[in-house]
Amino acid sequence: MYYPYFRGKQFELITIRETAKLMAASGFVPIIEPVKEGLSGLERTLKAICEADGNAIVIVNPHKGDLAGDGGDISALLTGSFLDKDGITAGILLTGNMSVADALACYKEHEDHSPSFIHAGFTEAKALAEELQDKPTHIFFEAYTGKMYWRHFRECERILLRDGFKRRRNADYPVSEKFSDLHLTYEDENMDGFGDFLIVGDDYSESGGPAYAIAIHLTYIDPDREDVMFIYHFVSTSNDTPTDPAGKFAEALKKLITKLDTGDSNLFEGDAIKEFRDLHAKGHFPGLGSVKKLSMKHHIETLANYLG
Amino acid sequence: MTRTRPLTTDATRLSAISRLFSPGVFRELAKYGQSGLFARLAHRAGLPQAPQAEVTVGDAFDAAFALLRQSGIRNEYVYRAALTHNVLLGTHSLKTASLLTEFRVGSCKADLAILNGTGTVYEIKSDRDSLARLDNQIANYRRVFAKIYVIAGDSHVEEIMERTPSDIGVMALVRWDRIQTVREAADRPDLVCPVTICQSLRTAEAHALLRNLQIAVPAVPNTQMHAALKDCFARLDPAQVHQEMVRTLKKSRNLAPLSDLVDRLPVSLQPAALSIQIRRADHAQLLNAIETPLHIAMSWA
Repeated sequence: MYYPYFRGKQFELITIRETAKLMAASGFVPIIEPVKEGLSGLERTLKAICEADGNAIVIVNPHKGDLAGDGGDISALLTGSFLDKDGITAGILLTGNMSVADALACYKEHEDHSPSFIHAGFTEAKALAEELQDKPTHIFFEAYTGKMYWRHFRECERILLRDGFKRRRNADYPVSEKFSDLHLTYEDENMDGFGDFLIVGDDYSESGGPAYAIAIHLTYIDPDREDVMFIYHFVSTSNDTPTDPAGKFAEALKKLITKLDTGDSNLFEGDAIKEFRDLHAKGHFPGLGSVKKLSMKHHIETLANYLG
Repeated sequence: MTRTRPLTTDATRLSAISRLFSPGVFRELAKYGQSGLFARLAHRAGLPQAPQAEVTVGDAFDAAFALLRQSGIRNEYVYRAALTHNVLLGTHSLKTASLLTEFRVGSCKADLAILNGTGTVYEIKSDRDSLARLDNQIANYRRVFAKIYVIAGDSHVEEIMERTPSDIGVMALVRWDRIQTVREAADRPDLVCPVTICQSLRTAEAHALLRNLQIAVPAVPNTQMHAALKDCFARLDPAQVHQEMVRTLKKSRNLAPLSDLVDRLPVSLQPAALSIQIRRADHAQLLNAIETPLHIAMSWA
């Protein structure tokens, strides 16, 4: 099924909380890589998932952000509050600088949390497969792996993550472009599930200066093109100065609403679109983080609607 | 100039010394209480490594700064330091004046502006900077600040005097820390553009300014606020808007809360503290890092 990958920043965590019920009902399993020092947001998010009877994989050795290289607090949180919750499991991020011994030690340490491996640059696939006694789930970043790599884990449950989002400067996005067909083809790749990095992409950044342009990214399934997933980029028009983000948001939002009102946008109209329509009616800009949250929420609603 | 080392070695050293004062090092020291970048740059800079415990990271910064300002590569930081110490902390104080860095002005960003009774902007042109953008910068600064100074290295002063109008002030950085005023700037608040000022301010600041002038803040949703404020400002008197801008910014960008930190930092890092934002909660950690013995800091990773 679907495994959306979240770098656990504030609005990513809020998105997970707000869609916890929907994801649980759809059998979606968010993968959360905690990146901020404070773990209270993560804890609240995991509680929301448990209350919804859902599942999540929490990366215990994050690679990016404040917690990179030191996941001790995450392990403590999992052991302290979620040991008896079967839905919350550990994820071990396998990066290029890890050895087989590192990977196995981390696996052993989190044995009680049914760990899965997330392959993101690791180079010792064969050796790891030979050493592993169990058959845990393996999740692959497509950018770092390939068929030769995947075959070492043939007898395990396998999930493929593909980054469908092509990041550019906001002003440079086309009106729409292909996002991914992995929801249609993952079984052809002999995978048991698929995932993506939503509309954020796999390029982590903590900073961001003032934006010259504001973009609203919304995905859709195109029935006229074999149900492949595409993405709209609704971008503001006056992009010469970094001033007035609220006014620019209104410009981008106007484009979205105009597209919706043509009736042939193919956008799934769930709660997120309802909220966008509401913002348009009020003329309100909720801040960039909330706009990203609505786009992520819409992406999850779209896949839940299609796969459900 | 005589060189005792090969050029490349010297250039590497100087560039490392110059980068010691970059925001990255300062932010790491504040955020983590140590900085691997500091250790790497200090090694490359070949700072004298006294084994005695009494030589601290702060001393190393002061020593590096002394080298930097005497070197042939006085960078923007040296100019910023001279303005901070001679004008902001010398003539004024953090209680009566405010300092803006990277303040948006039309299509430019002002290097440094000081607000006391009036608003003065300083454009820094070190010997390594080109003067290509100067005319456009001055045209933009006029729209926001009553007084404009260009502060430059020796090699530029003459050309700047010639190509800038006579109401633009010119300063030279003589030797390494003395500012010489070559031409006084005229005080022309009547020439500013209220709409450009409106765009330089944060929304809350624009609101405060209007309230001080007893003008009602537009009652519109936030996506229309910017346009409504521009309309509002377009109808105001330039000199009055400038005066209120100075008053508002002195409150909203008040530096007095930094006084305590600035007083406790080595002189060479005071300009950094006034222009690089760090969390208040990290002040103690930064001071600790600065007091760390250098020989320990050299092994920060």
